[in-house]
Amino acid sequence: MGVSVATLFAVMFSTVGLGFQILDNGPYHHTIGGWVAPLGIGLYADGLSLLMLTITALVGLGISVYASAYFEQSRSVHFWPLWLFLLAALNGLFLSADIFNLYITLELMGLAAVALAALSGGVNALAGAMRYLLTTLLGSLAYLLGVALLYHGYGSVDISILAERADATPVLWASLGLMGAGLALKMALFPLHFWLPSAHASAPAPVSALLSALVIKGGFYILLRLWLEIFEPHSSGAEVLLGLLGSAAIIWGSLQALRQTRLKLLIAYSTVAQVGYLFMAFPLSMGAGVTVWSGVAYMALSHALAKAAMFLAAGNLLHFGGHDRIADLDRVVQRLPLTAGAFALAGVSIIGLPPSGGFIGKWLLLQSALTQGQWGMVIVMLLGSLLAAAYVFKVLGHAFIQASVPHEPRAVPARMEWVALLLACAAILIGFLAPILLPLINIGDPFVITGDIS
Amino acid sequence: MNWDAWIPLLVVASSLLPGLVIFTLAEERIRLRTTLNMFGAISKLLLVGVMLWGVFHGHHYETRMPLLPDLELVLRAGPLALLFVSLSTLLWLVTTVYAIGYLEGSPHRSRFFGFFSLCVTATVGVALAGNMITFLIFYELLTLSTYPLLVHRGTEEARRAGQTYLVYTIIGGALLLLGTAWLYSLTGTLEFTPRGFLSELGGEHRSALITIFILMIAGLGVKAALFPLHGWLPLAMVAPAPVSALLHAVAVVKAGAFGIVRVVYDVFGIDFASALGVIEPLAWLAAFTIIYGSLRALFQDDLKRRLAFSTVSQVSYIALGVAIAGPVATIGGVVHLVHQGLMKITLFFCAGNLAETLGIHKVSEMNGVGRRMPWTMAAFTIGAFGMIGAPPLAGFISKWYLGMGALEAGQSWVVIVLAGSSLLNAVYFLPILYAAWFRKAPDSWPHEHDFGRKETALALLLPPLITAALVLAAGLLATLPFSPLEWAKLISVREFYQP
Amino acid sequence: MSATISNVLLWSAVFWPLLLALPIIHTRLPLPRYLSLIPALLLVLLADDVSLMIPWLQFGMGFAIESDVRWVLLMSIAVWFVAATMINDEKPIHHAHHMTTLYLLTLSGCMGAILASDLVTLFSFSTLMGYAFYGLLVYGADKRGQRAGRLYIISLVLADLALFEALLLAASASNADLQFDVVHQAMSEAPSAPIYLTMVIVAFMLKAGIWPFTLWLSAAFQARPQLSALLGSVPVAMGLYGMLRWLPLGERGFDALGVILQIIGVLAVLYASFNLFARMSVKLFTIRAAMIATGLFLALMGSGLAYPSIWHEYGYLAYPYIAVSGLFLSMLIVVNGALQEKHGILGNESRQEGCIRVWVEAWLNTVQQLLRTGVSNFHLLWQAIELGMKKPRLQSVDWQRWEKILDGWSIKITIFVMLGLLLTWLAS
Repeated sequence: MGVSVATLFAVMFSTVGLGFQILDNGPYHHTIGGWVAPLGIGLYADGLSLLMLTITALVGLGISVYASAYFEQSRSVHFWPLWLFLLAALNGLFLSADIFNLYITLELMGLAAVALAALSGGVNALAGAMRYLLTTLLGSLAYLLGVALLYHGYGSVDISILAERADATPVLWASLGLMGAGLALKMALFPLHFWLPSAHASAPAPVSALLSALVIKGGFYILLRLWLEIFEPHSSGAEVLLGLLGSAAIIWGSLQALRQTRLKLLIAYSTVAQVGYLFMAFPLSMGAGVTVWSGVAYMALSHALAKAAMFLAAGNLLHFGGHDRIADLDRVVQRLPLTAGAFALAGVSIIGLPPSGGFIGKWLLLQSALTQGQWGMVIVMLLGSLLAAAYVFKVLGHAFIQASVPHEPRAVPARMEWVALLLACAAILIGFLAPILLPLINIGDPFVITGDIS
Repeated sequence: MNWDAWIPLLVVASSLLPGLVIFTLAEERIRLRTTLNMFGAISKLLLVGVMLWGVFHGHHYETRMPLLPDLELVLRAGPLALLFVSLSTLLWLVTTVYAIGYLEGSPHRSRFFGFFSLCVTATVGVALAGNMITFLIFYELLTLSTYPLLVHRGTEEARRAGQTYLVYTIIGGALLLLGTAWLYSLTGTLEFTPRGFLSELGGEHRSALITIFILMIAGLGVKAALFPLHGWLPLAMVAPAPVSALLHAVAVVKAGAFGIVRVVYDVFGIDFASALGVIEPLAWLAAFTIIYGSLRALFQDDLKRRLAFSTVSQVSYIALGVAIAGPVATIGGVVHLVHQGLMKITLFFCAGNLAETLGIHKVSEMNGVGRRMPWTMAAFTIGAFGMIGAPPLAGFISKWYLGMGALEAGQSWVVIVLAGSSLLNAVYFLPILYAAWFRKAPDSWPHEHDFGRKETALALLLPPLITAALVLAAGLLATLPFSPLEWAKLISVREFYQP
Repeated sequence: MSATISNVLLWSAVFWPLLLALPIIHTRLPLPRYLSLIPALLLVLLADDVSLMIPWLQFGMGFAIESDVRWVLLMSIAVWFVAATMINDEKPIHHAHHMTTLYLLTLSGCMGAILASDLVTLFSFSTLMGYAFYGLLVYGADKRGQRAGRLYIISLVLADLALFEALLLAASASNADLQFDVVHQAMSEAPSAPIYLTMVIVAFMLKAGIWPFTLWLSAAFQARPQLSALLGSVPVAMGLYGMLRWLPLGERGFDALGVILQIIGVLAVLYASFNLFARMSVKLFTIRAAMIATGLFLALMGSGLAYPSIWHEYGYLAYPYIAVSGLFLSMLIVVNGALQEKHGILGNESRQEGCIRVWVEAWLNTVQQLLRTGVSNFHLLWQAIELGMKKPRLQSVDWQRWEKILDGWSIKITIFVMLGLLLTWLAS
């Protein structure tokens, strides 16, 4: 356990180091073993990958500290190897420079995630994990088919080479369809979100945090990269569907979250809704590319932090009261102030209230939508915020009052509370760091479409 | 070290930092908590005093921090900002003393005072905001920090009142956000400029600008309790008396009214807004709210609810003063910001005293209370007469300027509205005074606490007396150089006459 | 007498009673009520004609004393003195203290109103006087006194409202300089003059109980005798005085209005005289006398308004008229009260007055009822609208079922495949 936490710190430091490196020298290529593309494995780091790596390291660190107090000995023996495996897969995913490597890391990530989801061992957990397994395999299969098509069509798997060679042919479109669908499935985009709530509800709290905060971002990263580099210049219209589904996800997810009586399910549906925001960027990017993608990156960043904080807070509440029924939260504001504060701050970011990272992301998205006159999107975004406010404050409102059925509380280790609070504070703090972070994300111009003048 | 750039930030921080520390204190650390509270309040007052002195001598206080690559967080001390921030700071000090006395022995005081401090931080931020985005940020922060105060008692009724409050204010906030973002996408700037910064926009944006105006006024009108967005205010009376006092006099309601003043003068500019044709409907809405609030107040037996509807009515005076496009009416509206704050907080303090000392919550229970609690009722009398608009109290001054402004701007119908409102005020305040002073007291009060020789605790008695004295002073000494009236004249001059 | 001392006497005549009104002070001083009258007495008897301006008070308050005003002031002091003696009979002792407070407040207001040199000061002090007088009427009073008080306060509030509006009109016409002569000049030329005049006249008719608004006055006459002495000088005389000050007489002729006033005044006198002689009742003598006096005044005002030349010739008589009638009325009331007590007859309102009063009160109740039902109906309507809007139409959709439907594997795979196809097709 101590080794694991130390590992996380090491990862953190390397990320920071990488950051300095690309700050000075621009995007960084590294070929493993010296074997160059198109055959070898290359690693590529620019501003976007740096951002993803940092999120992973930060949230991962928090979750590790939390898990060190959460799991008892028997479980933690299983947890740590799986988690570190997942971490490796994620980091590899963010640094990959070719699509087959992406497939490998994606698959590894998925498998590790499934195993983690089944960790608590009950019938529900196993059923949920099984469903998750089947879904993830289906998604990866589709993705692999897409890889095969691209390779067949253009003779390479390296992303930059594909970017040069791609053109508007049926091969491209078909691979877009396959990969898009597969990744959408892995990201729980409406209406393919069905596996998410059950997987989260039965998984232990740190695992839910991982799934919502990090695993989903992995899939999003791949989609983003491929879209920007390969698909975007040559397809016209797919983004409308993605945007529509994103909007539907926001509304559906928020409404479902509002209906829930259990806290973890509520947070899971909230993730479904937040994923929708990420997809709304696709249609908007046609007009104002860099702003929109920066906004989306910001949303991803703050969502990761806030969602992890929320799940960890929920874990605390579960640990404290033995249940996570919202109506019976029984004055936790007074008895677990740090946890309640963590949930509140994380909620602020999810709603998009200032000053938080979520607000910055929403502001950027709103700006793009307004300048392009996309009124439907504006309405949907605002509606999403309002509904998010409704379900966050539903929980907080119940946290103030007494429950009808009192129960014996269990003490919550301080470590767990503090991690949740610190992650939530981080979500708020990045709201103030936009002038620093935005240029950082844009190192290497990840958002400027290659071959596109605008 | 350029202090001028730091002072606005320090003013905001002077209640934020003590507040954050107070959160961590245990319930029993009464002395430390009180010390922190008073320290924060007094240091803020001193800093505001420094700013006043500095502005008088030509200093320019402004803090800028980048929020986004092309948008900054700006805190600036202009005349209007200083007016509101002085009011807030002074009343916060008084309310803190009152709250310490009121919540004696109640649970969860650390939590309460922590959020209390956050609430004032947000208010001061709203006051000092130098552009719309800063205003928006602190405005939402105000919503967030007042919610826990509202649900403080932890009952189911409080939770539901809090829920209603949130529904209204979050939706209002979303509307304001939309308006602001839209405005930014049209103009690329959000700085508060006298006469507004929209005059360059041509006719093709006309309908967009009208919609933006409606969105922003709706968003602000929620907090300012304009009809029909006032529904949360009477329900919010479930909070403890210091919270009601603060909410109604200083923080939430005033922030909304202040926002309307800002939007009409420093974002749109009064001439531009008149040209768009949105000012007249605002005036009508404000006038309707004035009458409606007074009518509803007539039929309330619960004292705090009656005062709540009275607030609904009175705050719209400010909106009305703003909406009558003329320098004299502006003076009336802006000075009423201060006067209504002082009068209302006096009334709420007295209501809290009655509830806390004698268990009185309804007007029908107030017979003969003037004999038992003469000082409290004296303060209440001053506040009530001020509301009615009897000279020489503060309320008379505001109504005078509003009436004069209306006549000068050719809007004589406003004078009738003012008359009707004064009449209604008299009808629902005078019976209270009559019952308190001239009726015989019942044999026993609903729930009496004994304070010995004094009529009630000192911490509960002094604040209303202080604010009542201020009401008297604001009316009697209105033409002195630093009175709210003179200040309002200065603001009006800056808005209408200076190039 | 030197100007300084005169100035000191001038403002202390107004503010000294105000200071004494604080309970802490007058409970410790001997004979506070008489004490309070001293500066005024000295002022009226010994001081020169001076005027004073206190610029930092409110909008700037001005006071002045001149020969005309001395008449009224002298009368007022005399009546106040008499009233002061009557309060001595109050028992228990704290009753007397409270009465003294109210007495002193009313006195201060009265002094301030008499000595005011501009409209705002006059208005402020007459407001103080009015509300404090209401306190005197109602404090410890029986049912009749309370009823009188209610009618009085209603008249007072309405009158003050009308005066406030008139004040605004005057200020906007005269550019906020509200000295009497400036206002008179401005109002005689202003287009809003008719409204101003109407409001002023109606307001003072209410305040002074001039026919036909005599209801509260006759009710008040049945109130406690200590007070009724004051009735003559305070509300009635001050009402007449106020009318005199506010009306722009002598500048321009307002024919129509003047004639109307004359008619009303004459009618009042006729009505009162007729009633007086037809039913020679000692009990109603005072109220009839008051009606005659005020009616006469109104008629005279009317003539002055209609024919400026008359005003210029005989206008100087107005002040003495007020002084004399105030004094006369008060004496009458006191004597009447003493007689009634001696003979054990308590004054009763006339049958007509009783009918009118009942009618007025019924009307007031109806208004209140209408308002109440109106407001609650509106409120209900509004709540219904809110409920209708809020009505969660969304909740009627069965979300759970939809989620279950989406849950079946066949559906899921279908959706998945369709998504892929759609994306492909759209991209092309």
